[in-house]
Amino acid sequence: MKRLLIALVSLALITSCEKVVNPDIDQSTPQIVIEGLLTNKDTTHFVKVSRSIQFYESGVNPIKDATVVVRHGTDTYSYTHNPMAVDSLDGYYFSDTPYAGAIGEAYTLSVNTGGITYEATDSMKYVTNIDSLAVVLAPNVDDEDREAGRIYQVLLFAKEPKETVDFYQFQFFSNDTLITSAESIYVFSDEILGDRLDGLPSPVLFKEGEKAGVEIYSLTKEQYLFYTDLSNLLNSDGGMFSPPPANPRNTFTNNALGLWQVSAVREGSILIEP
Amino acid sequence: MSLFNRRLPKPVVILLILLSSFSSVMSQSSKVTLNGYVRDASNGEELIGVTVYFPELKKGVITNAYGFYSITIAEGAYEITFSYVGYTTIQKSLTLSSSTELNIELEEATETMQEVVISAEAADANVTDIAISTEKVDMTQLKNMPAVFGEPDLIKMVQMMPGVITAGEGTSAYFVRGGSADQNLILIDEAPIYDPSHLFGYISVFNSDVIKESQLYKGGIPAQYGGRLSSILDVRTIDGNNKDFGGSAAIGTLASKAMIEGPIKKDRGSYLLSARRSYADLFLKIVGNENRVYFYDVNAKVNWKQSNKDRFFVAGYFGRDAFKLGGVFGFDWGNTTGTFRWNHLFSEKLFSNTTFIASQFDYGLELEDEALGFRWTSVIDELSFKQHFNWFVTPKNELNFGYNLTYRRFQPGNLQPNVESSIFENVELQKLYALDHALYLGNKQVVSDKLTMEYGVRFSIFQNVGPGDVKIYEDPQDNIRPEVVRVDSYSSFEPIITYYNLEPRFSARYLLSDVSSVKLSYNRMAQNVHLISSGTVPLPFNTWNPSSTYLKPQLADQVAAGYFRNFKDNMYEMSFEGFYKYMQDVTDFADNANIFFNEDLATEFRQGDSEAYGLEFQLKKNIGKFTGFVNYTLSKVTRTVPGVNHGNPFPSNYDRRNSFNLLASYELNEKWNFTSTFTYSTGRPITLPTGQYQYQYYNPSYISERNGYLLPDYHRLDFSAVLVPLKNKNRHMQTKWVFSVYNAYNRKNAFTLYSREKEADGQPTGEKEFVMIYLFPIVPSVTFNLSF
Repeated sequence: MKRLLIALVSLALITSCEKVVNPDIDQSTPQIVIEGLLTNKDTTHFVKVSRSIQFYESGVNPIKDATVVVRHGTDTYSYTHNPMAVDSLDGYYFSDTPYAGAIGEAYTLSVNTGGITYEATDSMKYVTNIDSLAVVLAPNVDDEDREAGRIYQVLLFAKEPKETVDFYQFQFFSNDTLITSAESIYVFSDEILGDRLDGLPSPVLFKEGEKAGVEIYSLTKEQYLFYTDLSNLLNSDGGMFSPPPANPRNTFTNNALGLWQVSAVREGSILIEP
Repeated sequence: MSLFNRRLPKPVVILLILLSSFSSVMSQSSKVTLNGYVRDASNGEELIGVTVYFPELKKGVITNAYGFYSITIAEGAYEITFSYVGYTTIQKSLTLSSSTELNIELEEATETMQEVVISAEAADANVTDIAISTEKVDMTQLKNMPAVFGEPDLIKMVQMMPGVITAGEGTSAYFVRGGSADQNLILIDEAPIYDPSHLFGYISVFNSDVIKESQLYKGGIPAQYGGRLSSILDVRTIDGNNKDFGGSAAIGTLASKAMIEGPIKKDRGSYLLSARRSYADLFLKIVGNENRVYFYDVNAKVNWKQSNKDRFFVAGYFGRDAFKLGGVFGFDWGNTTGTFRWNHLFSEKLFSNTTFIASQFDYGLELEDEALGFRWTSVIDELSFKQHFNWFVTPKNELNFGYNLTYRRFQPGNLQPNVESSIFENVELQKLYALDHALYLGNKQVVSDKLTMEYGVRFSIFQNVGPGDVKIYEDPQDNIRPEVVRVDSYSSFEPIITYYNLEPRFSARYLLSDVSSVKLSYNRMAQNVHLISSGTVPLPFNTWNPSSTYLKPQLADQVAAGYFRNFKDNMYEMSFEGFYKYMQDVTDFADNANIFFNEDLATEFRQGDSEAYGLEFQLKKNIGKFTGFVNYTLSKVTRTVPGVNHGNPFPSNYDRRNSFNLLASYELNEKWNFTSTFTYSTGRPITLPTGQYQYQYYNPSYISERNGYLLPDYHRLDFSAVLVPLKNKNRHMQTKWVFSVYNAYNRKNAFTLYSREKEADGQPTGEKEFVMIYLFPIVPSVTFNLSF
């Protein structure tokens, strides 16, 4: 729904022109940013810790000396900073042992740096099964996609429990590579949906011969709100029609930015054939 | 809840004292009453605000909103003048020995006769009238003024007035003395318009051809008006010619329009039908046959004068915008209003106006798709009954009193799948209902030759009523996981919560000399409808909510004082006003609020206080070949809302330190008129990020402060030239050409500013930049008008 609204706003500006400008911006105090993901897959999980940078700067400002642990009941999983000492993995902390999160359980991430502890707790929600995938010709294709041959859409079929309010995130893969887009976040709530997802069309398009992959993540409401907030922030029009931009909400203590995401995940794939 | 649930201002007490002193002036003998209607001689339109003046007595009265006047004086022989700007003054000698009805028709002044009008009484209304903080729109200026796409627009003129600011071009939103857009009550023939925009605000819903008179009240608001905090825009449409059949048509770059009017029975009844349809299909740079973009509006009116005691009037407005893109995605919105009015004279002194009003605003969004197809609609309906009395008690006292009853139904949203295969279910957000009563009493009292006062009070009772369920939250501000403790159910018309507000109104005018006066006013306003929008400019897709368990009424107290001075036989009017306005419980929303489809919307509400103050200067020249105005406003507006910006005060979206508007119009000869406007204002406050960070493959901005920056200053120069061919003189058909140039020096005015990630070869680079959006470059346009 929100996306539709954004589409409307951009339509209102259809006669408009754009110009890049460089207003003077005050220096901001660097903020702690934490990105952590725990799934139900038995694997090595990571947490990334960094500081925000000034608006006109680029790159990342990793924090290498934090103490990172995940607690689950009486269990504690400790994380180590960049154990293989790869430059590009500065700021990444990996769990010392592979482990899997369990559906219905709560996990607490605790990051201590500069004498301050940032904590967030979230629990793993049930994720629906992907019953099947199908390929169809997309009804609306823009010129750019048509030229690139991206004219196919993947339809998703799944049963969705109606009695609970659930939140999901989708990720799409092309030949096992995650399709990323700086402005697109695919999360939704089932509040306005029926109990069957009969042919939910993928928002991304594929071309013939590609292996299309879909991952579906369960989200808690807090995680869902983080992603919708993030989407609003990335697509903000500066507060003319939409709300003024604001930092996404999360569950961290001491105002850390980022998210502790605890999600169960299912995946599926299909070869794109006409 | 106690009757006076919030701070009751002291002026109430003063008002009550003034009202009680009133009875003593009423007992006097051998008086007669002169009353009647004043009309335009050419088409029978009633004229609003005509001065009826007795020079010997130095007493006078002005016609009310229905063209009616009444004055009670001692028996005797008098000279009486009827004067109105732009019309030839009529002077009558009368011997009054009993109460008399005198209806007057005024001739529109021709070019040469306008000079005569200069010395007429009405021309000094700026100084002598009690109205403070009130702006009248000059319809001639409006029709000649340059406009984007050549479509003259009432709201664009309102946006140039002192104390009024805009959010930039291309929007019909305006902000009055620090108030938000939804704090303006917009009335067309007394019916409220909830969204005055066509084409997302590029133009407004008011067709300038049918407007008779419009006034903007920014302060000193009389007791008969209420319901919004910051302003009342009272637009009255013409009644239709009751003497001759006539019509007009115009072909413009944006829209074409046609109007017919004429008598049903000469001097007794008339009708008017006017319609306008856009060519927006061409205007928006959308190609492809499947796209459809248009707006239309229709004004219809029937007017019947049964006798001079009873007259009836039915008016309707219907307008709609509809867009359909690629044949799949559509949206539309529209206002529909209807007014039925009965004017009745109980006696020569007691004028009554009974009005029934219906108003509806709705919008819809639609997607045609096998899997994701839906139609979303939202509607607000309003029905009201208004009984207004205008009692011309003595020449020194004019009472206004009445009762309003309003019933509102809010349907925030209804989502329906529009094909069977859609994954959506029918979901409807709960409807909300409200009943609103208001009783008011006001008196305009001529205290002495120099001092006139208008004082009154409005008592409003607002009820949020059933049917409906009200969720009681553990923490009403927890918008993440709202915990519902219990749900209270209410049956039809059962009050859920009732708010009482006593709204005192006061204004005074003191004449310093024949050409100068000082004026003072205080008013309290209460507002019980709240726009659910957290952007600066409302969209047609915003819904409204009534005051409720979780939304308190918004209140405003405003004090304004002004100095008014005319120069050169009223050729120049000058005014200087200062105001201070304090608003309680202005409605705002939590950061990241989801206001679009939210069953727990109440948890997103944040209310706080807002303070606005400023100085306004105006210099006008209304008479002569060269006319125009200069308006300047210096103001400051802040908001403090717990839960927003960490509870710290922040500049409101409607804060502009400086605002300057100029209109200059020159009538070269009978053929040509040239008009130019210039507008300047400080940039709009905006929230800009001060940092950025990485999260997954996104680069979100870091926000540290609300409205901490300003957009670049806004300024723009426009020109227009109106050509009335000389050959018009000898024929019935009249033609007119309007040529205009918008944004003459092609200024790139910032509409908004947002941040994005820089891209190189379609790939994000991790670096960020700001992008300014600007709307109109230089836009020339031509409009052709035809009337017969």
